[in-house]
Amino acid sequence: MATATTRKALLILFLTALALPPFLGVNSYYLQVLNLAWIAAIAALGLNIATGITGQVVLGQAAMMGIGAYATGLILLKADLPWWIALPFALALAAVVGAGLGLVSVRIRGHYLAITTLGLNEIFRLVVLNEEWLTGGAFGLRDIPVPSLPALGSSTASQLYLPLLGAAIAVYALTIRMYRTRLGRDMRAIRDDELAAESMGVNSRVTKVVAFVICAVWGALAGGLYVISIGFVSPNNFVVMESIRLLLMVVIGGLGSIGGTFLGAVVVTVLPEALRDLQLIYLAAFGLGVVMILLIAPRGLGVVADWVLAPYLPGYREGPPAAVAQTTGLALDRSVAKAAPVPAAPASGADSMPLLAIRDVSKHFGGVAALSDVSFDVKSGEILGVIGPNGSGKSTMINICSGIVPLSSGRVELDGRELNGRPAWDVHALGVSRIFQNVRLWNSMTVLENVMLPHPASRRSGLLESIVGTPALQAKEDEARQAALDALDLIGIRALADRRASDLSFGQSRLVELARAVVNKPRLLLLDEPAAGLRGGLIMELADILLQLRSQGMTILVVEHRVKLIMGMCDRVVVLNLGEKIAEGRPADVARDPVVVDAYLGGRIKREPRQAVARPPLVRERPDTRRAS
Amino acid sequence: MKSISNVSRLLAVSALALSLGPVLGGHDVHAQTVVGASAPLTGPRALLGRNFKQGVELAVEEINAAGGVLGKPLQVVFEDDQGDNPNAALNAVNKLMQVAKTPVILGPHFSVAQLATQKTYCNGTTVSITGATGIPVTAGGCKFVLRIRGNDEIQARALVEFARRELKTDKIGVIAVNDDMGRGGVSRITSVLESSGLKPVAVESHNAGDKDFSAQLSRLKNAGAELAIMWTHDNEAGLIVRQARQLGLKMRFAGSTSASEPTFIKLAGEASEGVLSGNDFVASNPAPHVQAFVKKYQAKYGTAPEIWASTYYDAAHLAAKAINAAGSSDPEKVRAAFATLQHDGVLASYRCKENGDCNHQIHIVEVKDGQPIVRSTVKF
Repeated sequence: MATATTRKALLILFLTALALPPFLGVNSYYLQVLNLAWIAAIAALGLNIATGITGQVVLGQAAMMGIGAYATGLILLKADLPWWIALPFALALAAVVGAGLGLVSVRIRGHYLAITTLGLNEIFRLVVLNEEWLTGGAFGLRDIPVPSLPALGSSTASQLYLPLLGAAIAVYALTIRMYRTRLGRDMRAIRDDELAAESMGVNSRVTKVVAFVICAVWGALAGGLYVISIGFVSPNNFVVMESIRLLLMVVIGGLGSIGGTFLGAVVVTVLPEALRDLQLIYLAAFGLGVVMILLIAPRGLGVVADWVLAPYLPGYREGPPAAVAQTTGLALDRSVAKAAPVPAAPASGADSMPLLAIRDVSKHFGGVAALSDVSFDVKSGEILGVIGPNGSGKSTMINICSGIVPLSSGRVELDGRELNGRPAWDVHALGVSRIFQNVRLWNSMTVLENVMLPHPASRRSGLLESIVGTPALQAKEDEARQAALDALDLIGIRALADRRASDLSFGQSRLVELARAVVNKPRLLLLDEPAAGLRGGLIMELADILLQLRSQGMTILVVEHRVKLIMGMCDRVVVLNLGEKIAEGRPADVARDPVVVDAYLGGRIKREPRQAVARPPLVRERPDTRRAS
Repeated sequence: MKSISNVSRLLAVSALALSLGPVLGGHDVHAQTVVGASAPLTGPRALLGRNFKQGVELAVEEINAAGGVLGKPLQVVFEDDQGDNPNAALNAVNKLMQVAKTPVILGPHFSVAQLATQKTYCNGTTVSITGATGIPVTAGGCKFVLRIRGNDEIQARALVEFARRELKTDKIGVIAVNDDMGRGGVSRITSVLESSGLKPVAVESHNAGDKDFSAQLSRLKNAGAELAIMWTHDNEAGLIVRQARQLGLKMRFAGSTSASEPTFIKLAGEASEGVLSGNDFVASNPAPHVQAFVKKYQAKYGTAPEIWASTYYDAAHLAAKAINAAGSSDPEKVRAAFATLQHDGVLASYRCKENGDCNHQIHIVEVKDGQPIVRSTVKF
């Protein structure tokens, strides 16, 4: 396994090799083709940020290039300003357009967003084509002054080779830096699981807008550099096929792989030119080449690039992977837990204000009443259990409390503050954390990154800070990392810190989710069936952890089916059935309540005497409502 | 490790792909005189590129039979520019200039491709002979481009004036394709009408490759157009007149060069009857050298020649003549030779002006019985 030094040396070797051609007297045709490759690499990276890293499909990146190209060209031609004024203006314009597109993407998602961006691309081309008075129409903008740097070479292509290569490398370095920090984590979280990201404090609106702004700015930079180095631009440069070409670069490079995008851009730009001698069939050969590449490296060329860039990417550890004891999850020292007596619930008299007040909450999904006028309190410092048969509205209640689903009527107040109407990330910021019934981890990130994300130090990192990478940011990252490790310690799964979330067993991921939920020391913890999928012994250890969390001041609301867990751990229990609260009180009392028993076991049903002859097994006579779990 | 073996496989494949280049390329400049050609060999205009190539190859045969260029056989190297794709044109022209080092390039044909590449070749690296009709191609001060067809201004003016005289109407509508050729035509027609104090009653547009024009046609009808001028490509023009006939519209049609091309006549069928257009090349031109060309082309390729084949047939002959007259393959000398060159091609008799325009006439053509017939020749 090559060390970091080897890989860094390989990277430097690669970059030096890229920088050599003008000095070797390579023909200016080849230099020109490579220049186009560097420009395409910048545009493709912008696309990868929006599509590969943040998961928003964008089919209109050529229009972003076009905005940058035309803005730069027009300022150079009509306002007669130098390129180092024109280009920043163009980037600022593109940033505004990108922000607009980002706001659109909050409303329009998935395939619809893809078609919308495709449409915008075509609209851009047609507007530019028709507004001849401004853009020169179909004949384009011509005679744009091209800077001349005689010191660097004899032809324009060789003069601009190093500046363009330098620009591409700078853009990539900046993006890698941003990828490692909070912004990169937030983007990947949105891609992997947007709902979980929002619940863990990621403001998905702002993050998407930022992703689109960066995508637009990199695209416009590429367009501006194109116009500066070629001196001509026309609407034909920005047809939809060009957007598809950029997407091809991203796919060949590997969605989400930064280094891979560079390789993808080089391949897609250089390979057709290299095959030109095949005359009529060269494009068909190129297509065949693309197919072969994807057969050999289905996840893209990023496999190679990420290996070399690994020291700069998150999740890299020097040396062979530490021998990880095969952990079933919890490694709590039970003797310690036994030594300290389980703290009883702090005396909460009737005068203490409830932490969470749920008043007459109703929720309708179409004609279905998932919740009808449910009211109860969660007192500060208690563990409240919510039980009920399937379909009673327990998960809906948790979704409402965490801000994912708006209620139809009623109020939910946290410490007197209305929660309804706030987006999930604001609810998280107020100190409410949750886990999901089906585990929602961010699979492409490591366990450590998963747990770091909701921590306040990470959440408070500014956007600009993340992009630039100040020492203050480094301090916040370290703080978040340490807190994450502590949270993993608490749950007992420290050893899993560097594993990828997709490599975990179900039980392990359930525990990681728990660590993720407690890392920011929330005031209220909402647990949706935490014990699902865990074996019996682990369930009691889970109860120990929850009791310990309670002793640290956390209030916990647990939705569960397992009676043993509820009895062992909860201070009070609320019972829901078909959207209504049917009982509330101490666990032992609730367990004996006839209404509750009735709801779980079903009404008294007449049973037909079984016949001696075996019935056909597939026929069911009535729905089986007996078992709760 | 799996990823390492993947890497080595990848390297092997790319090495193989790149090794094909030098193996298949290579032009021996000492044994031949090499001239370049940038044509749409692939993409939506590949049919026109094929005609381009056939015209050039016929010319090369004749040139070599007559002794070649500078005493050596002529070889034409083709590169694909995909028609109106500026990047592809840049790469094609660059490759011809820098790798094959050709003194003359036939094409690129599309105006937008010309404008994109002029920045690279107008410094004297090569001479371009083109059939592009956009005004800016020779209006930009480039000293090394030669246009051998009538430009948009000539075409539009001749057509509009003839149509107004012939059809005695001033209610003229326009339908054009959304690309450099179409937009160029629209602006020329509009300015020609304006110089007579008129305006088009409607200006419609469509995208390249469109198949349905009912919206545009109904708007032209509602605007009261009695003559509709189409500035678009062969296929689209044919479909427009056919659809107009199907919809029962009574307006007459006129068009750019494409409205007398074989593809147009074939697609339009009976609807092509009576369509007027301006065209540099007409196969029925009785001049003996034109008929000789038509017969030879028909015999060799089995189809009648059209504007692309004839334009670049002439271009190849002009290139050979100029290089021979200059006595060298230095682009500056070749360009200088054009200033005094006179040649009777199948399009016209060429006399090149300083700005590069060499062809100052246009034929007005009407389709009768499925054949384009010359109605008049307008000289400027």
